[in-house]
Amino acid sequence: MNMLEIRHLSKRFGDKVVLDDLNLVVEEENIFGFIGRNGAGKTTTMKIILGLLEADSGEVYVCGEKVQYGSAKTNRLIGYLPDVPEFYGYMNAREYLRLCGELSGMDKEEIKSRSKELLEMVGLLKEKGKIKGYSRGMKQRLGIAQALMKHPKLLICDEPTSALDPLGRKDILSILSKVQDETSVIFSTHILSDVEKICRNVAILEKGNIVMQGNVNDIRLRHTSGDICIVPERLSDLDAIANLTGGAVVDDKVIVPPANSGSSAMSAVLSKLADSGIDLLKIEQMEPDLDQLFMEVIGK
Amino acid sequence: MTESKAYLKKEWLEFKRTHRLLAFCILFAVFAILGPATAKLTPLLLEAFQADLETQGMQLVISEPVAMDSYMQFFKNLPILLIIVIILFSGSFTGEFTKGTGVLMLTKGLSKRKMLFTKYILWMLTTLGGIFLYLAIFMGYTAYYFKLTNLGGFFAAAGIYLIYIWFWLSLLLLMSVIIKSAGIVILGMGAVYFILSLIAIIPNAEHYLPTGLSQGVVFVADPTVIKDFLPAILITCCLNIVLIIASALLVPRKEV
Repeated sequence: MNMLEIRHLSKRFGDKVVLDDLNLVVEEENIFGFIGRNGAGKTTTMKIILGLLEADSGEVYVCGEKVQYGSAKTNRLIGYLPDVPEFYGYMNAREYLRLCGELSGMDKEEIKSRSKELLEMVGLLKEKGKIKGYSRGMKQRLGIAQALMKHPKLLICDEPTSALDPLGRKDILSILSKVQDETSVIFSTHILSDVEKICRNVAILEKGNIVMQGNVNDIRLRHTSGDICIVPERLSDLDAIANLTGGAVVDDKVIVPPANSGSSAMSAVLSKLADSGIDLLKIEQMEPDLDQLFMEVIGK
Repeated sequence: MTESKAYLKKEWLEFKRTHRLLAFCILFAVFAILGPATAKLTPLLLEAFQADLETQGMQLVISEPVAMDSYMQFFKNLPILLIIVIILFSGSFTGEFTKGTGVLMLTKGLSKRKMLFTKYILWMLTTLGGIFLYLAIFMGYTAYYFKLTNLGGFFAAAGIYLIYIWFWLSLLLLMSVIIKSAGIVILGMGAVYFILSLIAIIPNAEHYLPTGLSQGVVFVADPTVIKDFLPAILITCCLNIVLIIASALLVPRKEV
């Protein structure tokens, strides 16, 4: 079943087109990365999915149910974690989760056991103080707990790690990895290393449209340039290697482009170098990381 | 209904923990004590200055204070309390969106309409509670200092003033929907008061305006005047209903 389906979604603010005929399908899965730079339209898309913002045109379906602007009906299926969640500072974590549970129509016992379970998972079980005294990381962890309170089918996280320090980011990624067994997660971010760590599938949003979508490993393979990187033991051998392979010297290595190498040509390069008697530290077929792919896709 | 009940519990907790309940109790009680005390002490203060004033050629005729002087103080202090109430509640709804706390409530299935009207119920109940506290303490002190008179007129005037307070809370409801920040909500309320005051300059216009309901002690002194203000009572009640309906229709489209 499709957890989320977006059809021909468009939205503009004044003259600025934020979403331009956006189409996206997210199937039932673990963690789906929704990547885009700041201002690409990620938060706008999320708000439309939550019925908090009205689209100019297009339709959004959550678990097959159509999202209506201003109606909270489909939100019973969704848990939402904003980039900087804001809570009622005069409450403590348990009181806040009780409020969330009561709003979701859960009974007292269920609220009690679920709150305990979630607070334990996010490491706030022993925290008795008021939320106003929480650090940003603690608020983000409580944000995950509140989003999961009613066992949502879909958890939408809007840049949950953007405002956190490395330790806080690590905590959040670890918690998201844990929750993927009970709910599908859409993880919106511009921090690509976070996506590489926890997402199986991704979509890249640029100028209001999806410019690339698929499995992270498949995308990497499809975009493998075929370049071969050779690092000699002695820097004085760099020119000799370049001459032999037809590559170019870049810093302390030689890069052999696909025209001269190609994925099937690795053995030919290896045999040329073996005959030359040059000692090598490393030779490898280069794979682009998500950062390079992202830059390539958005044309930077 | 479940959502509204849960949210009302949260609103009450907020009212208590952000010390608004304490502020309400102290303010309403202090003003309730001040009214009769001022009525009782003013002639004594004037007596103290009488000698000085007479040497300057001014003749003071000081009459014995009566319950009516205390009633006058009751209605004089009500607008101050109303302004405080409006300031305390001005950011209640808009704040949920400017601070971002309301978004998480909406994503739990609470509609904007339920959020707004739950707040409105709390505004009404707490203000009514405050007014009753004010009235109870005031009556106690007035009965202690003076012989109670004109009680029928006093309670009729107080009842009419409640409709006037209801009008401002209903206006606050609509302003909270159409305006984004608390500061601008207060300015908007001020602008409406200014416009109503301008219209009231027209002879007899106050018989048709919500502001006409704030006559207070005029009604106590002569309850027969109330019949001239029946159109204002009717128009204000109708306006309140219009304000409530308009808020209910507009709030789902409020930007988050």
